[in-house]
Amino acid sequence: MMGRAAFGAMLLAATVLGAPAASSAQEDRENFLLPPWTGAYEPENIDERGFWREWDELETRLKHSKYVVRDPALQAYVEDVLCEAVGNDRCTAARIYILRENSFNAWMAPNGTMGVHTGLLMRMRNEAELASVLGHEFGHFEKRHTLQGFKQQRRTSDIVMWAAILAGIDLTNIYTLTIFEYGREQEREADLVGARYLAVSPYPSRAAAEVWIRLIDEDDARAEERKRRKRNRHTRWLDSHPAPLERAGYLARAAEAAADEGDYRADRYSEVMEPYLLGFYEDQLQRNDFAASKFILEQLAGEYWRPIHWVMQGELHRKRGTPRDLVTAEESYRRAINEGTQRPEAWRGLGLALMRSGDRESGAEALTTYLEKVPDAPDTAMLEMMVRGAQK
Amino acid sequence: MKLHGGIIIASTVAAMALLSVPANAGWKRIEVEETKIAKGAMYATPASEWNRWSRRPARRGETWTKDGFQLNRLDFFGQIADGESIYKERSKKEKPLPKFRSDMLPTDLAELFEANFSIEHNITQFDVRSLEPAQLGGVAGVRMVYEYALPNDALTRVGEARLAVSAGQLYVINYTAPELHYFDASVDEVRAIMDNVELK
Repeated sequence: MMGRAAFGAMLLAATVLGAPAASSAQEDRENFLLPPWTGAYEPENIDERGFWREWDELETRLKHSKYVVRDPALQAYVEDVLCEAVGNDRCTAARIYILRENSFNAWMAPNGTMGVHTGLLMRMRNEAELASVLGHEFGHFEKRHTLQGFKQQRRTSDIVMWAAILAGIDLTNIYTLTIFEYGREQEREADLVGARYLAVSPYPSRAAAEVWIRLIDEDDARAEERKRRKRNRHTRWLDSHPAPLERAGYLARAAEAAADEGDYRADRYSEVMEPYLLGFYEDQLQRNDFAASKFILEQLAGEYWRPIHWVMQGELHRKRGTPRDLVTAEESYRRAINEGTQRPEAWRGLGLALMRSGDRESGAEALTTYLEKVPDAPDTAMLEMMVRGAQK
Repeated sequence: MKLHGGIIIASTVAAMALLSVPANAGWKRIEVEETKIAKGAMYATPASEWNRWSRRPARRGETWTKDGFQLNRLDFFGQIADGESIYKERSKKEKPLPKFRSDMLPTDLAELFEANFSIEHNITQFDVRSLEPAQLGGVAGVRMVYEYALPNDALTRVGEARLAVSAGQLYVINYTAPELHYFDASVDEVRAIMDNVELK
């Protein structure tokens, strides 16, 4: 039940939103007042309960899945960022699962299950960017988009079935288009709800548009390397989401309207991610996606390359392994070591890059240091043999 | 109602026809005898019967199973030349696979396999349990034991691959199965095949 005061506030918000553009910054800020939280929606009829049960089953499987990263510190941090993004009253409705998956993604289901990919955590440069994506997903949840989509799909598929039975008309193609169009409207709505969360959060609204711009640039880098057409500029008929360029545009306008200050919390974010970053990046490197991986690293490091970034650059180039890559890899690992990295991977990478370049003796030396640092590594037996082979 | 039922039956038949298309599956029984594998890239004698899938994972590749791919799977890849991927590259633009180079270190071969396997099967979680020197058909190479998971799957799946370079060409035999029961059930036989396979 929505209280009278809450209803009044919503009405006020709705009215103010329609006000002419000549309002002051203060008024603009008030436009972004969030409607009061009325609690998570509960399924009401047999269809909805069935739909919820499907998500509950998925969540049960997720609880036991090897695919979930179970790290209490990281878990607590991501939960905290969601609470900062959407507010303490709302955030408890979500149960977050961090999923080991290198792609740029997060999602939220109607029963409150939220999936956050490690690929997303790896790409974000600060807390505000992460908050903007989590807020967007929470926007889908608050607006009950998955449920609406489910209902829409059922309605549309009923029409398609009856049309087929009664007239033998094949509406399958039209049906697909309406569903996708529906998805795009929802994405826009979630983006704008997300922008409102950000506007009243401690984070600057600008962060949301910056995420999309970077996603476009990353895929451009990938497209160029793979000699395929660049995407993400125009929304096409079958796209389920608005084109990232379009999103960046309206999100930037929303940020301008909100005119909010805020703290990106970049330092805190990189401090928390430091121990995980290399592991998440290794999963990205496994995808044979050199140009995009290089772009991701350059965006992360920006002007302030830390030792971990040099190790990552070493891995990036060593794994591609052309003679020039091996030179860059060697330099990167050396730089990480000189600047005081504690990651043993730097010595392993340096040893392997040197060996492949033909400098077996120096390579063996670096590998020996690695083996001293990690005596029980999974590849100990192999590396010991390579060291012995080089010393013959 | 009759019309309705007819449509359901017709669409079921159509759906079944559609479903059988991608499988396109011919299966051939592998007997307990010396067997030509991967278009003659290898020869081996299994200790028990297997089923060979008609779809090849690579030009000179071959796939066997006993109980279905979810329960056990044995892949053979032979005569991979410099510049070729392990699995057949099905989409250069969407899923390009890293290529074998004849100057690769044993550890590079392991990383090459990891990337090829993960991209081919859309696996996002792959962890090496052990990497050690081993022989494949009498040729020095590596043995990698790894575990991987499929999304929303509670089973731990384990793989054991051996890779070796002979006359500048890469050879791979890879065995995967759930750790629960199935991996151990066939691993001795598989290791014997890896030890005794003849590389051509």
